[in-house]
Amino acid sequence: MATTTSSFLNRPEVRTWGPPIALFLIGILLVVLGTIPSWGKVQDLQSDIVAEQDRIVALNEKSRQLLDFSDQSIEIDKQFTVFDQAISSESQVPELLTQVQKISVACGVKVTTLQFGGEKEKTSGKLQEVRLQYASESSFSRLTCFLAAIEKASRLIEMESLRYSLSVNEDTGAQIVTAQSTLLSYYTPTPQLSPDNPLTFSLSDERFLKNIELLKEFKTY
Amino acid sequence: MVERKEIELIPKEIEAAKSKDTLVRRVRLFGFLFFLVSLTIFGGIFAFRLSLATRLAGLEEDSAREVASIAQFAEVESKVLGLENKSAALTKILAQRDYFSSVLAAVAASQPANLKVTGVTIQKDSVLITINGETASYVTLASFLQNLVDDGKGGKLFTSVLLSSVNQNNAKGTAEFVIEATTKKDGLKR
Repeated sequence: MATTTSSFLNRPEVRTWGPPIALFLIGILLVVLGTIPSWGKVQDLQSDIVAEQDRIVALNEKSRQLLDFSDQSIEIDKQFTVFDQAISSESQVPELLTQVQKISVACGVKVTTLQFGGEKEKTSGKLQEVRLQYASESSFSRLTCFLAAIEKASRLIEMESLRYSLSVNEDTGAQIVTAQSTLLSYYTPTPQLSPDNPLTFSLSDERFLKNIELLKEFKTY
Repeated sequence: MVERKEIELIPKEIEAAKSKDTLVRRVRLFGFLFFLVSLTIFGGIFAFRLSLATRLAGLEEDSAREVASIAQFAEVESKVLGLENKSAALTKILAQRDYFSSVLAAVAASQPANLKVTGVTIQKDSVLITINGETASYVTLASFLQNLVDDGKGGKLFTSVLLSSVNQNNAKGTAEFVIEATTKKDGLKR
């Protein structure tokens, strides 16, 4: 076998044409297997570098913003507490029952039913709804007081439906307003932090400042 | 003649050998140059790729440092995002909110003295309000219907009313009625 190979390599035409053809083929192989894939990788790396540079700029900006916010942490804590009363965090959802109870008591309304009635997601997970089934007995003026108080409560509570009926106690002759309602309140889940999510919030944002003024008009229960 | 033949044959063989030799040299040169150029291009691109990879690794280290720096402010970021979400939600909720107290106020403002409103049904985002009641007088009922769309009374909220049923309750001597009142569009919003 070795003799056959050796005799093949010693043939004059192989010795003459073999080296240039071999070099040419090796050159082709280098281009096809080395240069072309490497060029593809180079282009990928170049776009990765541009993306990484942009990311660093964005991260740097976010870091600077957070440093600014950190300097204003007292104000942020204060405003967070105020807004948290209006739209609570997830952990404070059960307090809704206590707050509705307090509003009812403040208006002299007797609560007969108060229970959670299911949740439904709203606005892409940043805001969640929580419903309460509410029933009460009172007079018309007290029910009116309750509605007004709900609408002015610092914890944002909406009425999804209200049905009331008037009945007369045959023994005492007193009028009783029996109300049934579905109350709707909201909470925000704990935000998912991602270093690549930019911060668009500003304490001097006009809408935010307007909301601060609005919340001052609400009563805390 | 013999001499002439010998003289003609020798240069042709030499010429053929020379031209073959030239061809072989050219092919060898081309093969070598092609290989050299391929190797140079491959080497250049490979070196460039290595330098880019090194640069990218450096940038990734810088990013990681920035991410670590941001992570130190996780508590602040969480509160800022929370504030942003709550503020945006507050604006939206208040804009969409229906104020049911305005219905009770409009009904109370329209209610004549001798008429009793025994029930009201309100649904969020619905313009239709159902009012139940009873009265001893049809004149009073007519007055109530008129008041509900009177601009100085219930007309601030209601645009039209429909008396959907009236039943005479002989035992009590009253007429029990059901009114379907239509509110203005977004009439319950502020």
